[in-house]
Amino acid sequence: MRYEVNKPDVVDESVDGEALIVHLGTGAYYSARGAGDVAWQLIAAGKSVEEACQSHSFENSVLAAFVEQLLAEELIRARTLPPSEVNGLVSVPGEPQLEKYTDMQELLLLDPIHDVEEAGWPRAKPAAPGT
Amino acid sequence: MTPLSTPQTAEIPDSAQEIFGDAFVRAAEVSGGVVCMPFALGPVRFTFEFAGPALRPPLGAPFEHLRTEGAGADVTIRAWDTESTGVQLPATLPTPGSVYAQSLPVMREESDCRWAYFRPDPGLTLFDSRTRTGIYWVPAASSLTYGDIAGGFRAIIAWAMAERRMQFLHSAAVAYRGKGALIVGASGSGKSSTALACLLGGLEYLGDDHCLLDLQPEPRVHSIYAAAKLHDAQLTRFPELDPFVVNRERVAPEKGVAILYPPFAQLLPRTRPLAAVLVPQITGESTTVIEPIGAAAALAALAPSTLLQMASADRGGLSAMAELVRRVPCYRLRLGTDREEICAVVTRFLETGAE
Repeated sequence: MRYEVNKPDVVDESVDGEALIVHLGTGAYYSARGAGDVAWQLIAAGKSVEEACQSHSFENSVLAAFVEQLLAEELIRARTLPPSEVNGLVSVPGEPQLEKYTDMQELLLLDPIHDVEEAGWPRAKPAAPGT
Repeated sequence: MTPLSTPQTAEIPDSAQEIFGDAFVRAAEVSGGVVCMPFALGPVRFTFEFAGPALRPPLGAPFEHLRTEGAGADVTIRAWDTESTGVQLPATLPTPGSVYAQSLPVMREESDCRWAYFRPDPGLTLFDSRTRTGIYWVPAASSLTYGDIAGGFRAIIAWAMAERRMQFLHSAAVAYRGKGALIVGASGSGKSSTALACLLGGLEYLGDDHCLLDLQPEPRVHSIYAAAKLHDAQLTRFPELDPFVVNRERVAPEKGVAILYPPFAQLLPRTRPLAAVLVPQITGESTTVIEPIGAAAALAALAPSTLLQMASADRGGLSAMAELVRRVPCYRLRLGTDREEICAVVTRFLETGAE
């Protein structure tokens, strides 16, 4: 199974060994440091769990659980295209972990901007969890 | 007032520009013409066109430090209100209240280059990227909130500048001797207090909540608003700004807005190169300290609040912010309680420490 970043709702950047992932639809954002950054970049590029484990020495069950978490948070989705090249990504010791932050969600609810879908009609923002 | 000219809408049938532009023209006709205000944001020339005089003072004042004299504009923003002109929003639209209450779209979008939204109180903001024209409507000048004044037209500006690869940021900025420092973080992190402490201590001020990032050829910050948003406690802490508050009746339920031009004209540059990104942290301790932090920590402080506050603006903004923290050194600003010391530490840092 291959995955890709759930664009356009999700944007990400890796800086200094840490991936910052922002879900613009829910207002949550995430940090994956060290091994988590490596795992995120590999999975986002379309590498399968097996391929990533082989190339960067992850334990299969650990990486599979990390991918399940990414799916549950709707940060990635199934991919049909072949994987992208990932160059110069060095293995980092440790297990990949995803930290979730929700302190910015109120900003999304305060700003009633409606995004425009490709079909042409704006899409109302989803309500925050628990509202 | 400038005589009314016909907007250039002929080749855009059924567009937002036509629907709202016609209403703007009627509003200008009944209120005596267009009040123009040319100004520049970085290298981009803007012109405000207000239908009549009502909206010009509250919405134009924060941009006075950016005024230009030349004719011609890259972006035109047309604004009118119903109370002073009698011109309603076009009747084909749902009424503003029902639109917002139901979270329904304002109007049909026929391409991916136009957006619109209603604010809750209500209002309309729209940008047509084909004509590079923004449209702004509110029921009355008196309905403008502190955010409308101190952050006026922010969606239009963000959309227009994103086309020029400039990123609207949720940040403050100050400068000293030609070196700018971007101050980033979520609301309540100390951005505004740091910027205002620095302003009142004699540093240059480029904004307390919104700035514009330009990465080419070097990272720079452009000022947008010569205004400061102050809640009650900040007015107590910065009493020097009290005489310049323009919305005193709204301070208690909302925030006060102090207009900083002309009183601080000498400290309001249009733009400065960036030497540092500062991430403030309120500590409750007596002394203020600056210490290096990683780029990732600075990006986490800057990016989510910017992206989520401007959710329908440029989604490529995260890469611009990542490039910023890769190119400019980042620091934690551990804020002490002494306002004057905060300014002194930032001044000393920009004078000697920032590279």
